Amino acid sequence: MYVKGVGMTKFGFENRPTWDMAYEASLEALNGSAINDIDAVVVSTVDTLVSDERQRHYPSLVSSLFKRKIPMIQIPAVCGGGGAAFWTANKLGYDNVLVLGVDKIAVNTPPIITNEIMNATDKVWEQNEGMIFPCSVALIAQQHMLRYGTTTDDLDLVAFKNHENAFLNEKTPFYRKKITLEQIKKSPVVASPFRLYDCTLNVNGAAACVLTKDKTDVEVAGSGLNVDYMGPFEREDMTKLIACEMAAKEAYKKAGIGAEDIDVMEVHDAFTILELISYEDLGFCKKGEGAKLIRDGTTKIDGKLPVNPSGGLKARGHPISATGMAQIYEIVRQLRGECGDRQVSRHKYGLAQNIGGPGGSVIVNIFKKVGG
Amino acid sequence: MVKVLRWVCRKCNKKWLYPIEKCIYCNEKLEKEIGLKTKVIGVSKVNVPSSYHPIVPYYVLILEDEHGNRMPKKSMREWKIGDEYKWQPSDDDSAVSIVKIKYDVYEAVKEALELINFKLDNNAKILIKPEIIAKAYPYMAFNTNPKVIDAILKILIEKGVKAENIIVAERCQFDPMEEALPRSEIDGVCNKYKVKFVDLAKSQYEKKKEGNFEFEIAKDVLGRDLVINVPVLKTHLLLGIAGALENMTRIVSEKCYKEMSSKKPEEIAQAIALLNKSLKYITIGDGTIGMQGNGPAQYGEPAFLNMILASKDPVALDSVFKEIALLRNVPCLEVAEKMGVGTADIREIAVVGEELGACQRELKPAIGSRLIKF
Repeated sequence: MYVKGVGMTKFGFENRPTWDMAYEASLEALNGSAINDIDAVVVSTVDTLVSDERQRHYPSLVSSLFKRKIPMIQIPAVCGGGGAAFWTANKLGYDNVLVLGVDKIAVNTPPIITNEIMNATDKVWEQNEGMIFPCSVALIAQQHMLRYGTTTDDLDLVAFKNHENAFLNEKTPFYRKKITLEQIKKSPVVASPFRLYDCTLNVNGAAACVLTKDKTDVEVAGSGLNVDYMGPFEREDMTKLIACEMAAKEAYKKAGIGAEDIDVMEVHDAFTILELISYEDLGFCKKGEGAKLIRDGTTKIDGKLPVNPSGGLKARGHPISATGMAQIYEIVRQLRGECGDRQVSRHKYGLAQNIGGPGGSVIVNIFKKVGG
Repeated sequence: MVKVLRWVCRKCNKKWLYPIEKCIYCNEKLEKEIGLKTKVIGVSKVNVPSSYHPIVPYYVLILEDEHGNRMPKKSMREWKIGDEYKWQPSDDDSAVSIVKIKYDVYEAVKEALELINFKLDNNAKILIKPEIIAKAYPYMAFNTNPKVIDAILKILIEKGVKAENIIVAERCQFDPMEEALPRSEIDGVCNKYKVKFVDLAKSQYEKKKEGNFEFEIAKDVLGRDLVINVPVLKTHLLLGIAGALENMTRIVSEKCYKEMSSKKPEEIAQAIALLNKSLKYITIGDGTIGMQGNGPAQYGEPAFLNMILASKDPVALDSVFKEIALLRNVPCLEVAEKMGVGTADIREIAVVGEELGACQRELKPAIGSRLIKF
């Protein structure tokens, strides 16, 4: 399959109706082509009940919005929803599929949103014990620090790099907003060892793309999805996302390439440690050596392997189901050389890695620039 | 001891967090693996509140047991990696145990009883007093969860108590017991253990004078060596909360109950206190679901507490529930303490097992003009 158009709203705190964001992202993704050419729609959104909309049946909402009666399916997979929707659409076999991720998360007070997001953990073992998401991943970070010597300074560098990238991205809430390393280091502790700037932001937004059998300039070279146990505490090794390793292995195999061929990637840095662990589990360094890549500048926008040139979840924000599609939006535009100030120099292969929960599901999609 | 639970297939060497019966790979029956020696291997201090965890800071620990199994545990105090984590039981008469249920009600009830050093004479004649107030399914939390009654009966039988020495007894408040009992599913549990169910509405009653009140108490209750009171932990539109003290009000005749209920608020509180003062029992508070809002029945809503409380002191147990639910001003408890029924002052209560602060979450209080205030 190939990617035709991609579309994305600005991510932020604007209180727009979901249909409005979905419409904008889809219209951009259609890029002048007719909605009549679309054979199916795969839409991802979380079933949040804390939003003012309380809208749960998105296929019918999208039908009303586009005035189409074609197969439309909803793929809710929490933070990995966008990637899972894309993975599903890629398997469906339709000629042209619109894939859409949309969510309104910045709609209620932080305690209520924090509680709502915690619903992606086990009720009895985790929710009842106060295991909010930042805490769940903070405990992963602590284990990584204890075993491999990763430090909070390393985490700060991840946040700093991604904020520098978001400074150049007009679709993020931090566009042209400078965040210093000192601000990051002095930010309040959310769940130790994480400070505020180790954590993503709850924002609203939508992103979309059109997948097609027609040959375009961007091919979906490989795609993998795998899962792991819900709670990190249940996994044999808390510092490793096995789902990521397995999904990546499948995607590389299908693409016929290895990690060394990837030129640019968007990884799921909902919390800074996840970016470092992703370097390891995607095969860019040995286990435990993720911090080296941030320390030596490898993953900066002008480094050997630019990671999260968009700003990542860290600085672009995380409208849950829209995130996976926003990663694809960035990678496709990077491969097409459309990213302006944050355009990376080498852009033949791009990778997007989307994580659901604290590693409970991981989707890896690899894209290849065709021709040119 | 805090217990780390797993369900294990020894043949396939796979472990589950859930009490499933058979291995999905080999169909073998699973074994329960219980870890008792737990160490702290991870700690995170959480500074941001969420609806279910409003009080910050708190700590989330990762505990690891002797089998290498792990579990998260919330605490309100600081811990270091390598610390041993354990619970100590208490002999204090007003001790209240709190145990969060990890998908296994039996283990939670057993642990709650161990934590208050509950001793049992296995020749005792025992009455279990559940709460069955209406014809309602267990998920609605009007009535005691049959899983809790099942757990209690299993524990008693395991300890050598004969089934013929146990009865389960209640008087239904809103519906005929013939309709309420099967809907509560407690009849099925009684049949499973061959334990008799007694409808207290059909009991003979004995008059008993306490202070200014004369109660008509079911003889079935008075003749037992041990009474185990098993209320649902609820908010209540008249009393503020309904727990241990309120649940015993249905051991009196309907006529006597109506007389008690028609009195002035202060007198109602006094009557409940006096009735409970005349009785000796232990309480196992059913917080498997629990109720919030305008309980005790259809105007309330499930609270999803997921915990078991136990105490020899009913006032202390109700007071701990009041604190867990972050409720204010429940006059009945103060009256009961003044009348010597038990301890209401939370500072005087030994809370064992889970830390009280680690269980606190605001429940919807009962509201309305009928709520007792004085």
